[in-house]
Amino acid sequence: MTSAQGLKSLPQANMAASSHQPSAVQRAPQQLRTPSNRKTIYDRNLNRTRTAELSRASFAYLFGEMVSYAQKRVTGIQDLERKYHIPDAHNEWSRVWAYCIANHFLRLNEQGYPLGLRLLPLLLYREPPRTSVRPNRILPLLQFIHGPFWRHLFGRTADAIEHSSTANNEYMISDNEPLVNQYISVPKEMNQLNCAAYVAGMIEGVCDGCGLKAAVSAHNGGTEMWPGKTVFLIRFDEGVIEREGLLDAKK
Amino acid sequence: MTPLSTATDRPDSLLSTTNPDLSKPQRVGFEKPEYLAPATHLGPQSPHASATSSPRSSSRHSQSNQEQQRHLSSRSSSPASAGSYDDGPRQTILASFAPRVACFASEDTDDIAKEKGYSGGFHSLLRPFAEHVPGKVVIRDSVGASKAWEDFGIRLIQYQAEYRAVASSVGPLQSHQTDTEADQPEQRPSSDSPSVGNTRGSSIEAIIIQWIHAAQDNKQTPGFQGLVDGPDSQRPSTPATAYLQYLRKLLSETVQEPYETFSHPVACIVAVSSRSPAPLEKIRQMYSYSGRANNAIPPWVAVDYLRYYVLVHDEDHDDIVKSTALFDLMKRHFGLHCFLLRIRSLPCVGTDSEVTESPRCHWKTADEELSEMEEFKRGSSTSASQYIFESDAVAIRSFFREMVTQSIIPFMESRVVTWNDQVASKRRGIGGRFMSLSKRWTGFGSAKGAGTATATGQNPSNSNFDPSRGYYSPEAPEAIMRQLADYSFMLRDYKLAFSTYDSLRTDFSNDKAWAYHASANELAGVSFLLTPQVLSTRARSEVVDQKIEAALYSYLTRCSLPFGAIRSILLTVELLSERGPGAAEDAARWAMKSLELGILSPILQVLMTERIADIRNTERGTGLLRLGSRRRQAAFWNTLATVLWERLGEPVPASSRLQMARTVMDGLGSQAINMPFPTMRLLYSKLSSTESDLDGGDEPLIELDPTPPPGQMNGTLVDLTERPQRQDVSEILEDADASGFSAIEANHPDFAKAPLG
Amino acid sequence: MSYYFCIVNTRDQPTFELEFGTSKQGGDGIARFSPEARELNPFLMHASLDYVDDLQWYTNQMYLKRIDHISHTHISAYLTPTSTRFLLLHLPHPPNTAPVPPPQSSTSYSPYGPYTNAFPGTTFNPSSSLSASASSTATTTSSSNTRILSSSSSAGGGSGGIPNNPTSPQTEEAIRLFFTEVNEVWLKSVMSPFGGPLEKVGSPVFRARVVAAGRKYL
Repeated sequence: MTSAQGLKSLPQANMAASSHQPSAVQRAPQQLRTPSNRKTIYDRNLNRTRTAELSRASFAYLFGEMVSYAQKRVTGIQDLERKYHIPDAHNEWSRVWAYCIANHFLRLNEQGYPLGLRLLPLLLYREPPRTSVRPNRILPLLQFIHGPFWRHLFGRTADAIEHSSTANNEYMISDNEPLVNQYISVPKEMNQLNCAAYVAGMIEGVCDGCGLKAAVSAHNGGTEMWPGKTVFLIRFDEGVIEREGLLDAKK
Repeated sequence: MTPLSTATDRPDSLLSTTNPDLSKPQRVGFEKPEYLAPATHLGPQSPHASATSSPRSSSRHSQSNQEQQRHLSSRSSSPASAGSYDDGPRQTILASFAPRVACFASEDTDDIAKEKGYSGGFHSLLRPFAEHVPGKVVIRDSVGASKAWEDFGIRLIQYQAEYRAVASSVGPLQSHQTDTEADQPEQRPSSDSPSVGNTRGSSIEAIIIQWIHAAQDNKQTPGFQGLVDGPDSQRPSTPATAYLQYLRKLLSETVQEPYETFSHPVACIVAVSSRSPAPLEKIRQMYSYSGRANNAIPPWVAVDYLRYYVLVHDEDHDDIVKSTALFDLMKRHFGLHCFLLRIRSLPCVGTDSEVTESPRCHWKTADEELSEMEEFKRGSSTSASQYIFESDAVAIRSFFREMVTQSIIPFMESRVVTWNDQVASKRRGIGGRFMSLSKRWTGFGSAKGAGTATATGQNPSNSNFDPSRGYYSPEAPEAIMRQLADYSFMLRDYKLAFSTYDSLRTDFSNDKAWAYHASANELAGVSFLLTPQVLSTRARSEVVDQKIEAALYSYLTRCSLPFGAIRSILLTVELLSERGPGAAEDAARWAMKSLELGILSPILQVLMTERIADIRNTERGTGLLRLGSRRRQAAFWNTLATVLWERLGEPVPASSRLQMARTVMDGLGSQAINMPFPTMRLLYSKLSSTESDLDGGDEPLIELDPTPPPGQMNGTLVDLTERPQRQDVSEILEDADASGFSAIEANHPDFAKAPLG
Repeated sequence: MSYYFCIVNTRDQPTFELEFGTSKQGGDGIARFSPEARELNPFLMHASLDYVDDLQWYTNQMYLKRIDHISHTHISAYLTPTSTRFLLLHLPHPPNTAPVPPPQSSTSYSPYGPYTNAFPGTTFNPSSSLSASASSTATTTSSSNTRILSSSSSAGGGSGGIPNNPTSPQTEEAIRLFFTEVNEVWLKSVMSPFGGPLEKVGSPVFRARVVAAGRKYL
């Protein structure tokens, strides 16, 4: 049962839409509310356990709800899947993050973004010390996404990494059968939509978190053999590409 | 007659090939050559120089004259404005290593100058003019390539005074033992005892402080024409100026050292006047006294410098026909290195016609400047009068131009060629290396030095270095090599200089001549930095770092010469800081190192802190993402400089630094909000309050209720997060859509404990 | 040894700050920074972020070791994968005593300048500081890392134990262990939907954990 194990192993990380209502917050300045077993989050183990796995069905249900949550509140397909891009050259995921919060994680991409940001340090924490390194260049980053990241989420690696031959800053990671789309049939009039935008948001979160700012989008790339094939297009910032060049020159 | 020939045996052919366009003698002083035409004002004045003179000028002179002065001073808004040209640190450094020329004038020549109002004699009349030779000066380097320099100059030193000073400072030999050298006591040359270093440093500091205070006075009483140029002149108040002034004063020091020959004279002007009853006889007398016969000349100074004979003709009293005849006779007797200088002996006042402002001396030592300041304060200024007859200025300028381009430079060039052929190239070959290792060098000129050493029996290692006296005799090949390196350095042939210094380093270290070793290392590093070539990271770390480190170690630990160490670091910092971002990083590192060595006085520490701030400020990073930016460092060093100025009780420079720190902090904009660490505000509000006391309530950058320091020292564990957080949260969200940030507001400490409710 | 620990988010704001002293060698865990140093420490921390941001691209390690120092005050850094910076400022001095104010000297070339007040512990003994720098001369001339300052003056008054020698490998390792432990706690904190990576960490449990880590390793 490899289905959605990644998601459930960090229950707090799922940015459920209902949890940020300020009215739900009760201020108790002096007394701390602790769970009855006296265990705080700081007493929990960060490593995953077998018993903590979650069924694919429940993930599918939850994801379905997320899609419809997003659909109810936005007008067009573009809005449904895309995260708003803040036109600012500077390389701070903090702004995107702030925007996601400001939008109540309205769109699929925005729902994935914080997850990616949180998965990145967590996965590296779980790596053995030797491989527990920050992916600070483009290639190690893509390998991280293609390997450990994908394996954690979907139980296998992604199917391909490609570098665009026309645009220097564009990379593609493709998945022949994305798990998130398994139980989703997109209506014909919305055939531009790909609900894997959620995963694209996660990838973007990982990239931005590493300081390699990118815009990531999910595209239908169905073939005869893999009709559900999805291509994740990663467009790195101009500044990132320039810096890569500078760093290579210094070596 | 025979001894004179040594000084004049330079082949004429050399002269004519070097300066073909100048081979026509231009000896008539009153003609105004083209290159002199606009040069009546050589440029901006040093703040002090005008300090001594501006009150007089305002009382005596018309409004237009003041306007002109103001124009001059405002034009020179660059930090290095004390220079005779608009120069940055690099130009200052280049100009500071100028050949020294001793001025040996007869009493009657000095009298003429004194009649003109120059109480310091002939030397003080000529000195300001020597600092910049008008027009281009063409210098040929060792490979025969010529290069023209606009800013060449020489330094005139007073012959007897200089040597008397040195002679008096030559006391009993002092041995400076350090822990590492305990078994091999280093007999340091005695001219520079630590106390000398101290007084040198402290007079420079006294001047810097005077400038700062003058600026302060100026600011508070606008219109006061005091020690600085005028109310419109902000120069001394900008701290970078203070730093550059410090650099200039440091490089102006002319105390003679055995281990470097920059301050040893390259030539000696022997001047007699038309008043002298027997001029030729007088010249001969003076000549004989200009060599070893003069006991005041320290034994380590080579005396085979060029002699240049000047006949000063008194235009107001004497007959030019007679003088011309005498001059012809001089030329026949003493060769080509002669000049007939026609000047007037009457004192010049500003109301006379055809007068010009006399140039300022920009390379006064700190002591000279201080004593002049004192005199000025006492109102008994005896400094040179401010105006000079135009004809005299033209005559003196063309004298220097001819002497430098036709005698001094060819002389130095030929020396470099000779020494390079006879000493250096031999030593660079296998044979030379062998000789140097076996310490049995008996080649060119060294027989005497080696002989004395053996005869006295003080030198068992057969080295040319005499540890008991602490110097090489000037005939030793090492000393000649050193002179070769210094000559080529002064002639700005830095490639040859570098290779020579570099080869000397091992010799000096074998001989345990540590002061020589330190200096050779320093100048090897400096000349490498001056070579016009691309400076790779590797070259920086392998050549510059290594040599300067070695120089510092020798200067400080082996010889206790902090002055040399400070100079090495200042030169390195300045030359590196203009070599691009990577080198600027190194420059800042050296500057920080100087702070750590603990050799800097408080004032210099602050100046150095400011310098680091300025260097950091230039490091803006490359590319869109500003890779390698040092803005936050700049903010820190500016702030630190502010604090240090405050601590020294100097609010004016402190407030200007605070302003810069704020500007940098503001500029961080997209990277961070202005005052990222809440605790920073405490210091800033404190500094701002002192500042507003000063200039009447400048609006502080940040509004902050000065909350007491958050954590108290008596608590066991101080948590700084217990401060009001509201403000910070709102700043986190300053530029994003704040509507959704209730989620962050909800980030109450309690909720982190119970995430799942 | 006194410590000032700080977690800095990507906007250069501290999300957590803590001052503490060493608990080794009988230390009582109390920080003893002078008031002047406490004013300037945040600036020094902030400035060292320039080095962190640089090193980020040259090394893929999370622990960046000692990145900056001014006189005896040193800063070590740890960089999480999402560019959150852990900075630890450490000032060596014997446990349970305040940093010794340097003796005042009257000569104008006094090595005890205003820095001594700004950063206590700058007790330059002329000879020892010179020989210290000299010995580093011999070993670090070929150092190509321009970010790490080559001169390392050792602390006044102490043999090589962790609290007293900020440049020793033992100190480096102790700080690494401290950072690693803090990283784990921090990770748990940011996994919370209420504790994002940008926000201040106000939880007393978190603080207690960091304090415990400090006590354990430093």
